[in-house]
Amino acid sequence: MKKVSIIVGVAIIVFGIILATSFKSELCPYVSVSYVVSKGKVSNVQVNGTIVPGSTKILSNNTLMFNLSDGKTQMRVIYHGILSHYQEGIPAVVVGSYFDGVFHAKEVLLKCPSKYKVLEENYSTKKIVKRD
Amino acid sequence: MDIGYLFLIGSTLSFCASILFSYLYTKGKAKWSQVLKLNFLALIFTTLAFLTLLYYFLVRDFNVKYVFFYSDTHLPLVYTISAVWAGREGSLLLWLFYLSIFILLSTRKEDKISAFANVLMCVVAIFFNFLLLTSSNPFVRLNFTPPEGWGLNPLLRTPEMALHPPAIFLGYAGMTVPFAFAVAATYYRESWIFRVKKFLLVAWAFLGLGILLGAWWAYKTLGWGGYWGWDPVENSSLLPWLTSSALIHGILVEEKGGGKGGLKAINYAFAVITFDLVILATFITRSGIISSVHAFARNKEAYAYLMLILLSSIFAFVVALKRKDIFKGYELNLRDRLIQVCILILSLSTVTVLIGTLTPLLIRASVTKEFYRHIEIPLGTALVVLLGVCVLAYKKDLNKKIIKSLIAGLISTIVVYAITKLVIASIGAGIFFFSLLSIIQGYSARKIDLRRAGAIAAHLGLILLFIGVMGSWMYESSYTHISMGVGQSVKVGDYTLKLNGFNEVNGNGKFSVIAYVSVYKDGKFLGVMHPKLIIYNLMRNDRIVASVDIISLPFEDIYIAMGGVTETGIASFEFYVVPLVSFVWIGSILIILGGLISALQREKHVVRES
Repeated sequence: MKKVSIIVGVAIIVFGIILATSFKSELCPYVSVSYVVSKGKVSNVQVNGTIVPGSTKILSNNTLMFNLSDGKTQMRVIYHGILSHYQEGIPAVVVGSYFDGVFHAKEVLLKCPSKYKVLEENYSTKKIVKRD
Repeated sequence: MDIGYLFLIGSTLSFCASILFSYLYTKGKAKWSQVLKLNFLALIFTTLAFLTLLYYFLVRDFNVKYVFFYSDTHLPLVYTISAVWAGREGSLLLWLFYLSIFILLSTRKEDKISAFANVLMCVVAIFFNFLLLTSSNPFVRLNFTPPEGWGLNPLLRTPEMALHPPAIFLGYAGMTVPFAFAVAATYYRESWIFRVKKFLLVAWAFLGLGILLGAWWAYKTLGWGGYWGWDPVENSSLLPWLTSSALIHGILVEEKGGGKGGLKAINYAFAVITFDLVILATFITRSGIISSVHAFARNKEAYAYLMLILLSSIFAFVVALKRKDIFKGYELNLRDRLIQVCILILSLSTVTVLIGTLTPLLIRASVTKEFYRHIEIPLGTALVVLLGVCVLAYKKDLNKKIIKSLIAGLISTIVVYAITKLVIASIGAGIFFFSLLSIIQGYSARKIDLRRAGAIAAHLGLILLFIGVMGSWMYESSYTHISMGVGQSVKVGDYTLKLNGFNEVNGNGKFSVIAYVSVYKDGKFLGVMHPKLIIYNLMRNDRIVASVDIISLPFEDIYIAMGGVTETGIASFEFYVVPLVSFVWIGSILIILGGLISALQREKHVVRES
């Protein structure tokens, strides 16, 4: 049984090393729009922001362009593909790299439906009165 | 004060009284039936609170803030009902409702263990009551009555999403039972596994069902051709499923000799960890902390949840420490050892998912999907191989049977390679047939009772799931840049798509644009697909939804989503061919059914030699 314990121990250590390596290589830091724009060139990051209303351009070949804002700075984002619930004005996280003045998104994450709380909090009762 | 709120107060007080009477019962000063009555009263109050909220939805009382945010006047009846659990407050109420039922059902046996377990479960119930009475009160009213609701998120208007929360929260609430009885029975130096097994299996099955519904929904709704995105919300529900799967297997070892087997400490730990993980999952699912790191500090409930996790763990740990002498069981035999390895693999898998899920909370970064795939695919493969060995482990002619399975695996690898020339697919098929033949050999000779039938179903399900995941993750073809005008056709891979035209449908509070796309494979007509864009008449921003269309063939799915239409009538599409995805659904359903079938087995407290 001692042998078995050693094998299991080694297996766990190997697993730990693989886990750590994979973790390091697949880590994708969060940065702000301002940071990305000020750096000029950043690769493999995620940027949180709001899709700027009126900035969307849909080109042929399923290419989507929009501006993402963090309240201070805006950046142009380009994405190839369909986003099933894309809307302007909602928060989004874009994953990809920034170069040549454009953010090339591999992925655009729109808020999951069970997580609309933030939006609701911003929607104060005053605004509802105004709408009426 | 709202009547619903009063019902919640009633529920809280009943649970408090139940705790008091449980204590008095252990001192011989109260009857157990009094405790049961109080638990029943608590269930009635909770149910009334739930029905009150449902009533507000049905009469569209938009003065209630929660009703305003999750429904509108056009919402169909079914989704008006499901809107009750569409948000945080309603989900917590659902949690409490299920927990109240579980408390009532699990404490019917009159003894000190029930009393102690009852106290622990009531504390959890009071915790949720506390949240519902303070920061997550579903009965908060606005100071005016809006004429129209904000509307239920269109993405949630599917049968899967209507049923996903009731299934998953049943699983979550059910995991309170093993935790409470593990701690209580250990305190009294008794065995707890037989008392919780049924609850554990039912909770596990419903948790699995909830996860499956979520995956199926993502596949049908989100339009990226996948069903599992390693999203924190998905991950958080997978975590307790992994640990409870480990617990179910650990119990198989411990139950020998009427609860004298090994792995006692491990099972105890997994009962506690599973409970902690369902609390973590409830928190992650309903707070959105992970998607926005900054929300964490702002979320007052975060600390309450963390506190519950911390206190329950510390309490369980202290009890275990005081009773550490009872954790000694029988020596482990070969089969036990293999089950231990299975638990180890599930644990490593849990750790991986947990690290990935919590990374955004701890540092300003998150991991990509590849991180999970790099680790989980090998672990899953190891699990399936282990299964093939494990089901044969206590057979007399073990070597002979293993060799048969190995030959089956080898032949299928060669055959699949000859046909497809795909290395990984061939290895996957080999492993699949190796484990399949082992399952057939392992179970065929024995008497089949319900419990074994459940195990067979779940294990067959696992290998089908394995092959399905492998096929759909490794060999999916995606074509994301397709544009077509009416009458035009495009060739993608072996397929030809032709846009026949559009139709527009208006009514029922929504406006839909439907595209008609004919699909041909190698020139053979497969059918007309109807991807849609649906625009709901709602105040909310997220009112446009792309609805996908899928043609399911036995060995692959053909999947199309429409991105948008320009004014000139050019539409953009995404097209996916997903192999073996039906195996994922069938496998998952078998796993869930396996749990339920096993739960039907009459409990025998007999020595199980095998």
